[in-house]
Amino acid sequence: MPAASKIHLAEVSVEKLGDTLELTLSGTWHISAPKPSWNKYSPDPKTINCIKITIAHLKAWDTSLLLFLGEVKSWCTSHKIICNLSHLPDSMHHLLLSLEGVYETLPPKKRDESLLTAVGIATNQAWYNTKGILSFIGESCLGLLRLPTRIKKFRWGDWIDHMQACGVMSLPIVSLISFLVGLTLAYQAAVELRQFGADIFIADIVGLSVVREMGPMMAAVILAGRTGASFAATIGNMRANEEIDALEVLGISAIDFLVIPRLLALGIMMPLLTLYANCIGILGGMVVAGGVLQISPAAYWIETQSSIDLTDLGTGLLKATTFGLLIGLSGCMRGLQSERSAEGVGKVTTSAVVTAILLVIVADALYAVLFHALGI
Amino acid sequence: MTNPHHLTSANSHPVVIQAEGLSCGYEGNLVLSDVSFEVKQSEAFFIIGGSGCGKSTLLRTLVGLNTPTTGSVEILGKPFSKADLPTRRAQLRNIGMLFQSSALWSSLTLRQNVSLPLEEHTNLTRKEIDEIAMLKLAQLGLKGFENYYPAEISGGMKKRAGLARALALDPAIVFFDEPWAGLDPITSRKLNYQIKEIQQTFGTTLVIVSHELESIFELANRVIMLDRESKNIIAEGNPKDLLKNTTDSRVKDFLHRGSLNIHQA
Repeated sequence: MPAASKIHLAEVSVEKLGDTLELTLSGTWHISAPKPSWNKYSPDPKTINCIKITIAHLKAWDTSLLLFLGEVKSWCTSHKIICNLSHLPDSMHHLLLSLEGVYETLPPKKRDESLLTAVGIATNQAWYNTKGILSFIGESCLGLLRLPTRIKKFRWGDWIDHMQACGVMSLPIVSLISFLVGLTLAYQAAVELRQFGADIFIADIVGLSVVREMGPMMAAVILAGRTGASFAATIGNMRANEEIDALEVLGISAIDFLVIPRLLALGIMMPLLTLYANCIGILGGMVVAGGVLQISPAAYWIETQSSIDLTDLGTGLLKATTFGLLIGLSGCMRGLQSERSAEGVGKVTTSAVVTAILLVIVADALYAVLFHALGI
Repeated sequence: MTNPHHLTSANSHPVVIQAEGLSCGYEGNLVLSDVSFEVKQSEAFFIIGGSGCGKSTLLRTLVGLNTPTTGSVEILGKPFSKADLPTRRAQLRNIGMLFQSSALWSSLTLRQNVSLPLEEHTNLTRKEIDEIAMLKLAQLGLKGFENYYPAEISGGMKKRAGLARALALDPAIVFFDEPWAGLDPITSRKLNYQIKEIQQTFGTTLVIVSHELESIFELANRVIMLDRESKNIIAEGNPKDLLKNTTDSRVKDFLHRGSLNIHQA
């Protein structure tokens, strides 16, 4: 074995001289190497009244040696035995004192709280959250209302960029999902309809479900995951980097600068994406109708046209616009609520998606009740 | 040219910031308690103290980013901390701030960063806004970098671009949060020179949070020193006078190292 690769392990030699136990520490003491344990060497405390520690041929040492010394010292203290460290260098003494000081620090901050306190804090938090949400919605509405008065200052460039990011860039994923949803709906319907010889009504089922429900809903779910999360992450990051503070100090409303262009972009792109999703969904149904039920595209198209009217289309687009605004509001609101840390940004991103999907589903249910009541 | 010593004697200058009985903190922990002071026009006023003594908290409270638990802030003789949002926004036009992280808007170029306050608060034409933005950037040695994004420039350049943005509206008061943090000594000196030039040219009031002693002795007309234990001001005055006359060991210890640096330099 070459000399350079020789490893001098940490060593402890023990010698008993009368009622004194002499420990000699030598070798290389390294925190990542095996460390001798005091338990292996500790004698019967009744047989000695002093432990003397010396060092000899000590190549190198680090915290592992201190830990060993700490073990010996605390054993001596607990057994009322004198620990003679006077032969150790000063630097070791200082560090050993620091090690002992570790246990003498103040008790850790009490973080657990009584049930009553926890309920109080949670109630307070819920109240502040609700107030925050209402205030954000109110400010956003005011921002939209004052838009005509500050149309010259509106950030058109940002608005177009956001429309491109949330609209045009979403086309591939919207196409895929909508096509598959149309296809799935058609397959499900085809099996049942064939039994009754009502094959052609597949166009009605697919058309109505896609236009009234699945088109807006699927586009909303995609945009909640894609755009809502992106809004929250961008704005959250801006908060962490003090960019939002910079806006406030310069007297620029974060709502006007960040939220309104994003809301308007989503409010406009959502119905357009929904129209597109409707077409692709119907196309998916048409493919299944042609392949499984041998219905020609022309017949399918004529049946679709006869089953869907402008009211169906309008209700779908109205829902889509609402969903778009809800996704925008959730993303921006969560972003502005972000804590100033990487973890905070992560949390609000997740929260933005969950909030957006929740609000979309609640709004969808409310619309279902409303349309039923209105008979449309 | 006015030098800082002349400005110290400017007791007749009107008060531009009046802080009265300010207490502030986070999540129930009081950081500052019942702090009162005033800042006069054209002063270089430093808020100094060790880490965690509440310097940045006080600065954030002064500019309205934190709401004080008690007390009030008046800016240019008008209520600020207790004013409603539109009034406060109108008053913020008189204020510029350089953040510790520069806080440049990452999606905008340097020119757009400086232009934004002008677009929001003035009715200048596009051409005039661009001219002002280019001028401000050139004054701070950033000519040729107007179309760079913040991610494409160094930390020192970001600080200068942040200062250009803070000065865009020619504010009466500029707040600085640790402007020298993370800068090398040469860049720090350049920034010192530029800060001094702004104060001397426009008579701008500077409120600076820092513990960079060399810059404190070079620029400050007056300092207040905060203390973590007492949560209040423990010394107030010109730093050189404080060093000579104070009997408080905390103030002496804090300022002593800085005075040595100055003499050695």
